[in-house]
Amino acid sequence: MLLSTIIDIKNDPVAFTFFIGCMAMFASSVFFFVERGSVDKKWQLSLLVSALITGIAAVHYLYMRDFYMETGENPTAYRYIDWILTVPLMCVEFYLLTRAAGATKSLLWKLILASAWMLIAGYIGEAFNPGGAGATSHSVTWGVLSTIGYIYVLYTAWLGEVAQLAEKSDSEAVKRGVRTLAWFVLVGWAIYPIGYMCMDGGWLNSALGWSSTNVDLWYNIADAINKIGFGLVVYNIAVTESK
Amino acid sequence: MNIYLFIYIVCSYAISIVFHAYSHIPMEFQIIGSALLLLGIGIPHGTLDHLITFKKKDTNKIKFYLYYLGSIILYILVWVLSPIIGLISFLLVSAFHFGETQLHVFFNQKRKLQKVIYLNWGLSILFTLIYYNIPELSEMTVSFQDTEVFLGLYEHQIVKPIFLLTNVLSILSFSYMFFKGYLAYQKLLSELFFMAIIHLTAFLFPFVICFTLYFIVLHSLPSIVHQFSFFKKLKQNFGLFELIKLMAPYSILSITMSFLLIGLSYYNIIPVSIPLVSLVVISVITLPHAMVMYNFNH
Repeated sequence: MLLSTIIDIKNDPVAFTFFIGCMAMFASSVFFFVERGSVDKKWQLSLLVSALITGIAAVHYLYMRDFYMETGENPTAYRYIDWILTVPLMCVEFYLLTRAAGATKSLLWKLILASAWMLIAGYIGEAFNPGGAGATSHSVTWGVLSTIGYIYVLYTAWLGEVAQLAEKSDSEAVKRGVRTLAWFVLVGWAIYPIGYMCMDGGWLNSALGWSSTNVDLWYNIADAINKIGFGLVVYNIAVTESK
Repeated sequence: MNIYLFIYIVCSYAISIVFHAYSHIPMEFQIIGSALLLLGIGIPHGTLDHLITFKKKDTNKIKFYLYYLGSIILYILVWVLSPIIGLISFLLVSAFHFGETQLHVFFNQKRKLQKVIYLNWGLSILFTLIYYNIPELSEMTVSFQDTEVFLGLYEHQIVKPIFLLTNVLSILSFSYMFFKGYLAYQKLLSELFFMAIIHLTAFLFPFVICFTLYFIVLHSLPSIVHQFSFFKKLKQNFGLFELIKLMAPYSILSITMSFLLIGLSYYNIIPVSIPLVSLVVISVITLPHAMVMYNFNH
């Protein structure tokens, strides 16, 4: 069984990245969890959240990997379950980093709601198309609603409350770290709306020539960079500030 | 990322969604949308040139108008004598102006290569927009008899080397500015990201859309805000309404004159097609505007 699985993934980059993604997420989760002990108490919660993000993703990647190997189809539902848990947690990181500079609970809730809105609307648009694959009116409506959530998080991270709080912070590491996380939101998270437009009948499907299988490949790579990268930036701030 | 790039990204998402819904946007809609934005924001951004010059330093008004209108008349002559030279010089003037408005903030005093960097950056942006849309531009060019002469300029073997060279030189310029200390690390990343976004939108969208988006959101809008801040510094209670009031008469005059020329072309009173008339009008007002803005920014 194991041998046949290895033979299967050899020529399938999507399956390959599911395996790698799963292991990388597990390893990162263990790393962030263990490293909690080596940073100041005020940063331990941030590292725990990083460990949770990659831990939750690792478990979902196990399911996604099996689903993909069994059916060869996109594990859309599993992906969105993963994102609905992990993406709001990434927004929690913004709050935790800027808390010392005066971030309020309302900022936390606004970010959580915006990210949840983005994902729920995205899921409805991608998974429940009453017109069937290729019909775009449903996906466009929900895509617009989802994009509003994304734009809100992007604005908050770059120009809004989070950016202003980071600017007010005394710590250079926090300023730099928040800016790096904002880059993740801008560049790393952009792969998700791009993937959305690559669904069957989607515009980029024909413009870039990507099929929905390619989308899984990009999602896997982007997920690994975004989640592990996000955690590493937080880890770097925590270590720098704990010296 | 600044607010303008944020708006640019939001607009790009919005346009992507329209493409996702309808697969394509008809050319008529593109031109109507583009014309509305150019008339509403593009033209007003250059209407306060004279006021900026007079407020900034003590300038002889007659000399200024002679200079301003003289350069317009001279440029019209260039277009009459050789449309190809007219178009090439328009590309060069626009490129320098775009580069100068984008990068002047990084040069607080005169530096070596400064003007070359401005020109090259602007050319890299223009040729990026052109390179990804050569078939579309060629098609537009051959649609009218008097614009057919420009077809040679959109040849792949001419555009591609300029596109590659100017883009590589832009990256080298940024590296030079970074190592010389003119550009901080975050700014370097922002400028490279800016270029990447221009490439992406030029690749994904038709020329009319990506050029309008760049010209309105990343060029005209920051320029209007810059001019607003300048007047605000001179007069404390200067608000948006005052700016609109200031711009309105000159904008209306410019738009009326543009429509008049387009009308003359439409009714064959002047033997020039509408696209060529529009190109000439835009280019001849760009030249003095670029000179005024250069003095304003430096």
